[in-house]
Amino acid sequence: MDDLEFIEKYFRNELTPEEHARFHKRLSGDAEFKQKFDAESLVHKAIQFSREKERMKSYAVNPVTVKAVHTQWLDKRTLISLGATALAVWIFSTFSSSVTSLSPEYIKWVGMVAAVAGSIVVLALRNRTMSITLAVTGLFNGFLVFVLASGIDSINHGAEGTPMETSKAYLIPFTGDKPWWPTQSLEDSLEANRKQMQELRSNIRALVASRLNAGPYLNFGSAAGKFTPVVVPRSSTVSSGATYEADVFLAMSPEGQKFEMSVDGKPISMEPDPSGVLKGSVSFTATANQFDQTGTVRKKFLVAIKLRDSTYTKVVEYTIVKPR
Amino acid sequence: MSDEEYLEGIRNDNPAVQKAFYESYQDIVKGVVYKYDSSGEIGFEDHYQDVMVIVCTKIKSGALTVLTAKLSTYLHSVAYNLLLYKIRKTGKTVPLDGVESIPESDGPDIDHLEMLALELLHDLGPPCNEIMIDWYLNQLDYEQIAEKHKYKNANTAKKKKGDCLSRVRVAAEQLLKSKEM
Repeated sequence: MDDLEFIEKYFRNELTPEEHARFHKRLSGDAEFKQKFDAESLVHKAIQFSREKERMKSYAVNPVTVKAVHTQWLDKRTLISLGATALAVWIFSTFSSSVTSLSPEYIKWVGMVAAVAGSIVVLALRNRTMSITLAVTGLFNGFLVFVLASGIDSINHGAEGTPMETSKAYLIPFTGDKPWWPTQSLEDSLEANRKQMQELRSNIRALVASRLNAGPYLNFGSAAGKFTPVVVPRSSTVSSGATYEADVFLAMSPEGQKFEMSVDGKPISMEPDPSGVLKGSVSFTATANQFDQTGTVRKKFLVAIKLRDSTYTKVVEYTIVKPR
Repeated sequence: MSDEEYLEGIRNDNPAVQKAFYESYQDIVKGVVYKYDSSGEIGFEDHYQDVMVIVCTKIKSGALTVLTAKLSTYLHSVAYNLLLYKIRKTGKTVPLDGVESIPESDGPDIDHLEMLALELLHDLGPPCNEIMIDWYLNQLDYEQIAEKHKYKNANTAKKKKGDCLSRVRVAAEQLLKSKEM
């Protein structure tokens, strides 16, 4: 074995331990051998460089699509890319709804398609190729971007001061039939308006009832009752030259509403008058055992009309004159 | 990707990591070339590949295992020293106006042998470089080389390898002599 073969075996890691020891002994003591070794080392180094150079050239023209080693799950670059893409998707979707006046029901699909398609295209461009693995990765990345974009949307609506209930703070309700994007949907707005109107109506009723001081407000609905004018004279007998006084009312008997009348707790019968208004009659014998100095006595009776859950009462006073 | 991940990936011959490494430090080397090579004779692409070749070989051979500074600092140092070597070879002077002090690299310096090996690469074109890589680095025998490179038999492969080696040995010896002079 000549010197060059000996050195060649060294670079191919084929030396036995004994040969290895002999090799290093010659290298330190034989100048001619050392010179040959330096030349062979230069060749060997050039071969190593040649391999690396070929690889570098291939990286420049042919992309390598092998899984990258990532010990860190989400690094800064990934997080920033994710956030920026989500922001872009959100802006795109929001502008789509403004420009095309798409309903919220469809905007969520615009957002999802943009997120998934964008992720797959970016992955394909970065790797300069496309495969099933890349497409699936892009799909899941797109979902992640979509969820993040919907989060940005929720934050935006919250920041605008839109009244939102906690129960409505949902992100992707694909299982339900309610649109989610924008969070304050058309249906939500209508529901809120309806409640507001209901509250307003209730407030007006309470206000009217309190102003009239007539107890609980009665809603007869659109069905009107029977009306009749009622004139209640202060006195049916008037001396000549004196003033005749009477109170005038419009009495109504609601149709379809049951009501009862009683005098001092005893029910009285009701009959319709010619105008159709139900009327009850009070009839009793006026009696008194004692009279005052003027020969009269003051008495009263209680009239009660019960309608639905309310009872309207009136105390009626009358005077009994002592017979002569 | 962190510096340690780059070192580990390149040491384990992971092509994806090496590619990521190759794509990540172009700006640093570009800055060195544009700043110090006012003549514009040193092409950035070639210089960048030379820097990458040297650093990757050092990592794989175990000469660079631990970094006390950033990998980018080391790359900057290698790019600068190699650029000086190349400019000197052209016989021109390096303008010192605006030259800042290069930070300590905290890694193995480029040695004389590596500078010469880069030059020797010009004498190691295909298919000789491929046969030599298979023989020395991939540890293939002559039969495997014959099969891979479609030679008639192992003897033909041996003869081809012998011719390539003789040629590159001559070039290496001439290179060594020229530098000694």
